[in-house]
Amino acid sequence: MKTRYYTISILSFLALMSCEQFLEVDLPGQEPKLVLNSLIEPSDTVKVFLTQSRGVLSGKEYDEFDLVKDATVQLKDGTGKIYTLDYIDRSRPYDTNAFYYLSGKDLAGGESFEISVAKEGFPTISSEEVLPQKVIIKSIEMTNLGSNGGLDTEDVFEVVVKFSDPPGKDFYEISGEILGQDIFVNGGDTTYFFYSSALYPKPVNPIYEKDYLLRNVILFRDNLLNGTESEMVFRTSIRRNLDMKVTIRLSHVSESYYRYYDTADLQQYNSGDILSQPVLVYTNIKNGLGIFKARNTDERVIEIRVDD
Amino acid sequence: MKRTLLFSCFFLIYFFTFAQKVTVSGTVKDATNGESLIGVNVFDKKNSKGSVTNNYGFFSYSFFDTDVELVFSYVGYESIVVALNVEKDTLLNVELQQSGVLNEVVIVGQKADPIQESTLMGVVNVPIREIKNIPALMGEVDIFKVLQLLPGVQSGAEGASGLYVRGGSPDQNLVLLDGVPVYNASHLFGFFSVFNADAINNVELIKGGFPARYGGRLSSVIDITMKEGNMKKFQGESSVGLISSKLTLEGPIVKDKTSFLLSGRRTYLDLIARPIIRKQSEGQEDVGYYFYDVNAKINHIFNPKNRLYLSYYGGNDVAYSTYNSSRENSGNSGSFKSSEEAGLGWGNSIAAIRWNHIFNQRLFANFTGTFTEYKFNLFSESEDVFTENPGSNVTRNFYSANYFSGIRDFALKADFDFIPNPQHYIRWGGMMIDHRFSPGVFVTRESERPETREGVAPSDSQEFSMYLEDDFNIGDRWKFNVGAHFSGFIADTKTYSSFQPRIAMRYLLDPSSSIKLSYVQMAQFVHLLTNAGLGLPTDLWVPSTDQIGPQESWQVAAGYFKSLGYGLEFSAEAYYKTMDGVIEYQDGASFLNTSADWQDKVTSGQGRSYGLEVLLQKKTGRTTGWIGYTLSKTERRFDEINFGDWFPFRYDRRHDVSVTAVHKLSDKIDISGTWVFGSGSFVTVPTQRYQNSFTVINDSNFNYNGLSVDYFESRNNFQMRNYHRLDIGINFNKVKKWGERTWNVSVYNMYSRQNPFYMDIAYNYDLQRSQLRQFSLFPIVPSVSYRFTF
Repeated sequence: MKTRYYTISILSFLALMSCEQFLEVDLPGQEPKLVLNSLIEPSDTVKVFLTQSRGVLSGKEYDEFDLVKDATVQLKDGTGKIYTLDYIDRSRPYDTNAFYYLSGKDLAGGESFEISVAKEGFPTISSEEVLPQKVIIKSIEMTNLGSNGGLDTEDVFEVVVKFSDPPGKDFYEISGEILGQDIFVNGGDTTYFFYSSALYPKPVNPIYEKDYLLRNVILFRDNLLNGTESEMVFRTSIRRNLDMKVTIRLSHVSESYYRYYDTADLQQYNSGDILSQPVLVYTNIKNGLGIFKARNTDERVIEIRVDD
Repeated sequence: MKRTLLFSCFFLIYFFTFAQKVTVSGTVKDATNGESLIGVNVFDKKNSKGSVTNNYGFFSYSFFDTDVELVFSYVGYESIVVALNVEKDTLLNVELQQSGVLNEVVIVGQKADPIQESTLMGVVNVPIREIKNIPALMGEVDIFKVLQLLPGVQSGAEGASGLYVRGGSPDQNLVLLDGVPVYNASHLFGFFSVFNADAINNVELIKGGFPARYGGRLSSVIDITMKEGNMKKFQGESSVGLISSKLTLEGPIVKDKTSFLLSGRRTYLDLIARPIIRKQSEGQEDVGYYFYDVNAKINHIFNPKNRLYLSYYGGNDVAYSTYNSSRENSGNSGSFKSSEEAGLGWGNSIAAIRWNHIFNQRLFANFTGTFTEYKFNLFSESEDVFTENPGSNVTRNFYSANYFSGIRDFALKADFDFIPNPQHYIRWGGMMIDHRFSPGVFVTRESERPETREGVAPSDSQEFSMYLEDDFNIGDRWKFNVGAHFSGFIADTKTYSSFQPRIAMRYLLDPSSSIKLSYVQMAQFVHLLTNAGLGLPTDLWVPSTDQIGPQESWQVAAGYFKSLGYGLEFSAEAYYKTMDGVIEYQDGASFLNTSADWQDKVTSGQGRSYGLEVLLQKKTGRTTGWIGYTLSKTERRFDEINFGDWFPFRYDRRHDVSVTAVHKLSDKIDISGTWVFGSGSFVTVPTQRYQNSFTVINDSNFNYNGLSVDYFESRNNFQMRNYHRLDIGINFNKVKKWGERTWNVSVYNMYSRQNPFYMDIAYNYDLQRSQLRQFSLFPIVPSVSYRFTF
């Protein structure tokens, strides 16, 4: 906004009237570290992305990060069995996509996993995570609140997702998408129209709003929930005159998952704002950086058509 | 048994008849201008006991005799001895002459109480005349900058006037101007304080061992007293400098009965730059910044027992820019006018009415009603007007955005001084404050749209306090100050209260040295939210609420104090302080985000600080000044910051040294110098950068590729370079028929040290790699100013 612009301009003026100099300083902690990024959820493939970090004084801010190949990546499940992951590189120009993977291993909710990575020249890194149990969506109620601020093409719906929050400390994420299609026949011509959009859920209770999240999800913890009678209420817009399939996902996520996105997204959101406090991004990787997180998702698909 | 009883009664009657207590009381003033003298030593030569004058120049001394010789002494003034033969309570008003000694130069206005005598610890009184002689940034004498030179007091960023006393933050300093709290004591984004040294009489800093009469803040009391105005004759003082000019006028309205003081200051760079900017922009643009302040006081003596003071301070900083343009559209289709205006302003208004009343020879009272207000405003407005030819249709688009914040207090205070005998000095009193907090409201207006308002509505809170303390002697060696301060705060639906014991003791090892110990508890119900610790006007004052409780601390200190002779005083004081309930913005929080309640942007935690302060001070002779050294450590801990671990406070300076000297070469020339050194302060700097979480195919619709995460080892993980600089100044004085004039030439940062102000990581294109980039503010800054008195 303009006021922010002028504030920053005036503060920049202060900075500009100052003398700038670059310093040759030994900043500690510049050695590269192994960075592990992995999300486990009940699927038949576990993927682990490995890169190297870079000291802030090395390279440029937007340089790509080096992939780590030839590392020994192992996953230990709750029974103590160890699996060694294979490596695959599917990268294309300007689209890095290389990772370590394990196929054919079913991951069950409630099971704990430990991941470790050994690579010459780096200390061995490791992390532990528990795959949360799936939390079943008990019911979804959708109420049409009318047109969306004067737009004729879509209506606002209030959605209530009910579920049972288990005892203890729990974390959740609500996400989804909306797919629609229609067929028009005009004379002899048939036209197929496809529509796709994210769910863009907006929580009704402002305490759950986190404007800084980069993805269009609601990420929340259970300290205000009501145990077995828990619910999350949000609003979304649905386009009219199309056969819509609304997919709503309730993910039971690990605390690491919650803390990582809560801090990493906030840091990204504040990037460039000199008046904001620095954000320390959560990491649960011993001797390294990154995040080992877990998620277990239940989803419902609701078919709906909103006519004029 | 009966005989014993009769004998006791006879003895008591005898004692009562021949040893009746008599009290001599009154005021001590400067014979030249009628100003009350604070801290004058009143010493009974016969009984080796005495008293001191209070903040209003009042003293009271009781003795069991008819004959007494009282010596009134005050540094810089000729002592006088008053011999009295009195049988009943007597009123004695004294006027002291300033010393006219040519060879011995003293610091006028310094309290006469030697450092080892009082129970007070952590107290420094800096005479205003010495403050004026110390070299200053751009020649602008600043009280807070001088206080930053004292041990135990850290400065914040380069040039800023914020004070960090014994590990506390600037909001933990109770800054009083004539007894009224000042909430934002900064001009020019913190580079100068709001206090015009020409209007000030006395400055006292208390860092620890707080007597019970002080409360409301954790870390320090900065008690600044304005001059009262010359009761004898009309006089004035003025100065012209690079940054600002000042004029102070004072004099009697009715001689020896009513006096006034009026002092004003304004910067003028904007006035000088305005025609240049307008010429360059062909009249379209105007940009400027200025600040001004006004101090005014009226002092009236009704009779020897009643005195009234009215004092006022008003000051403002204004930064602005305007832009106007107009043009005719091609083809004569119409005309277009555009105007934009933006700026920010902040300022304080303070008013006080005080009534001194002497009930009797032993009981003095002061009743005060005060008003203080601080406001900050940030605004921008724009208007576009399109007029169609032949002039029938006018389209106007208007947009304005305003951000307000502030705090306002009304308060009533009553303070009593009761001196029943030389062994006891008892004080008690109470205060009520009504606060109104406006912690940030953002209002936008746009043509054809309703006004939108974001932020928190103003809230009212009440604060009250009462205290009782006694300063008493036991024997010749022991002296104690024991008291308690009780305060409370009514916020929303909750009432907070705090009982704060205060104990200080002094043991005289010998007539010239003593050891002192103190223990105090303090409580604070108002908080300052500060983003960068720079004393920016954007900092917000907020109350304790149902969600955010008060701050509390306890501090223990021990010290050794000695008067060395030749005007030298030495002190070494160690302290340990813990703080609870200190608040800090959470990670990622920003004051500009008014859509969030401030309570949701902060978190509360703890602080601890400990250190050793050494001070060697010379108060008399041709050379005066001090050498101070502080060794200290200060940390903070918050559950939601730095993962709950302790981290260094931003201004945790391990070593702090200051050397200040003023030397009188002759009657016409005096030189001064200051050298300061401080360990670098701390900033939060990332050490690593790494790939943000890759998405897995099922993970929502967002691909994180290309985003990176900055890794911080911890908060305040990097210590900037050490800070040091040398300032020198020289005064050329000349007495004229109409008064006295002084040319001052000074140099700030003599060897142009590039001291760090701000640091970040940036890409050095010359070296083709990233480096730490440091911003510095002031290289060598010479200045010249001219001042005169008449």
